[in-house]
Amino acid sequence: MPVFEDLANMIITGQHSAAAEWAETELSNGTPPEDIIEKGMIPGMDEIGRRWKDQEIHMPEVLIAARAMKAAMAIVKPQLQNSADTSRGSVVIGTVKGDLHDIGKNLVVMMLEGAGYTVHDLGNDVPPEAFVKATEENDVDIVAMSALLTTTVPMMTETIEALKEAELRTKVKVMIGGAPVSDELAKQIGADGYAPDGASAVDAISALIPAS
Amino acid sequence: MTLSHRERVRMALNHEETDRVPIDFGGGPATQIHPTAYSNLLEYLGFPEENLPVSHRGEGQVVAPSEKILQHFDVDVRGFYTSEPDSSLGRPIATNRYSDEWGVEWEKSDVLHPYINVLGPLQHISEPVAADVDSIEWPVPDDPGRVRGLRDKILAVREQSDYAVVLNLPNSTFALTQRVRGFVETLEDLLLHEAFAEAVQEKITDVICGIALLSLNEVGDLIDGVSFGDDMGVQNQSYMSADLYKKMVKPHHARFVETLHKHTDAKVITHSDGSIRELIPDFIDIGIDVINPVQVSATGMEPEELNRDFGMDLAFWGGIDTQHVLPFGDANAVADAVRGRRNDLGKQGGFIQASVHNLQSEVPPENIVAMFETVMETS
Repeated sequence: MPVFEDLANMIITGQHSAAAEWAETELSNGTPPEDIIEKGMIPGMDEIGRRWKDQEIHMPEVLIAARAMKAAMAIVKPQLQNSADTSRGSVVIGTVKGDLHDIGKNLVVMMLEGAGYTVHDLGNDVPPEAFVKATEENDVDIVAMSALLTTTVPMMTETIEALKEAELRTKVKVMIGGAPVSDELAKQIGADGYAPDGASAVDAISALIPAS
Repeated sequence: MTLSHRERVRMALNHEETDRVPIDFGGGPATQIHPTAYSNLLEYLGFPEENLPVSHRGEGQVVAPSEKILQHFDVDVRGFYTSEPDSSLGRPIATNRYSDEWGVEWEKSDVLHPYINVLGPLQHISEPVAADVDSIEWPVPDDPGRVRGLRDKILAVREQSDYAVVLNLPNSTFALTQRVRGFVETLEDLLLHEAFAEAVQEKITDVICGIALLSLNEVGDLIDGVSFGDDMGVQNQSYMSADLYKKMVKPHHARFVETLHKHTDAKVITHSDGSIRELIPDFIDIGIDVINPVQVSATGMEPEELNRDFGMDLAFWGGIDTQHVLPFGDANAVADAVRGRRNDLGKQGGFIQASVHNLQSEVPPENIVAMFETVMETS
């Protein structure tokens, strides 16, 4: 029997080579890849998320944990029969047009992937049409937008309008985040949710996606 | 008693009470103003439009307010910078993209948007070792272009006015490491590639100590403050724990600050955005005299508590919130913030008032005026 806790601990302590080796060994022993993700990787990243939210750890520890999670995921993912089966939901994410900041957005991506979401990361400087296109092409639950410049905040409203025009707004939930953004602004521009940081983004998104 | 501007600043930085709280506007790279907000301010004051050069480089798309505006608000500080070196490796790469003298590439998405560092010369290495530091070309610290004309400019202010003078040095070890190596990569290196993290910071500290030495030999006797920027926090916590800071970064900061103190009697000011409370005891320990910008909207940066816990050892420079109050509050809210800071940070000196960061495009002129006029009214 694989001790999934071992993998979780390797992720928590950021041992990326060990995590990848563990996944490789367990796959060859016949452990289902879905179990490795659900019982080893996700609990590891959940614990990292909790510690980060409670300020027990800082970005370096979070980043090396995410790196270890990705190393194990790179081994496991090709073996999945149908990756949608293990996904907790699908998120399209990007920093809005005019804004080249991506560190905060990347941290959110890491935490979402670690929590078992499928993430379509559109990068930064993403125009409304690109959000619409990615939403059309994928079975998306959440559209998540980031902005760091106050001057690019109106682009969030434009993106929401573009989703409405494409008749997609009712099919997805919209999340916003970034330094100039607030819960109040989310309500004002017609978004469904807001999270102040990477750690709480996962909680906010899981609250928006109905449990399947 | 009416103090000269310089006396007011020097006394405040020495934790002595002054006739009013000294103020800064544009004396450093993070207390400036977006061109749109500046234009609105000129119009509101009934001043003619000015054709100030918009900075072509650097993080902020900002202008430094003109001497006329500084005198209008009775700003106490004048800021100076080192210049581009003659030997700079910096060059334009494309429209809205350039590389600086460290080989770091910067890009902006639009003319009036800020440049953001997007690629560093050591960013591509996945498992870096100490020797990788020697694989790139480093800036020449003692290039005479950096200080050409600097002494004359500062002397002119000294001789013709009574303003306090701050020399703004380029960014310090950690910010430069993050640019050269990448933000995420640098934070990972602290735990995964210690020998490389040590070597790259050592190298960068060598260069910036050299730049500091050159600059302070030139003007160290003329200045009241010497400032360097090194962001160490995000909105809700420091980049790293105090333990990791002590082990991996503090020794480099300590060497740099020691170099500054050795070559000038001016106060050492450090600029770090974000929540940095957990690192402040170490900043004090290595000889930092003043912190800017006191980002009061960040976690753990409540001004009253900062002053209570660190006000004996540290002076504060900044404090007027740019995330909520200045852009989105009204003039009354700004006036309340000014009075608040005078009481919580400025009670027994130890406080220079400035906006927490550069004033962004939407900050209304009424709020800027309230920020500077309230200081005068209430004292």
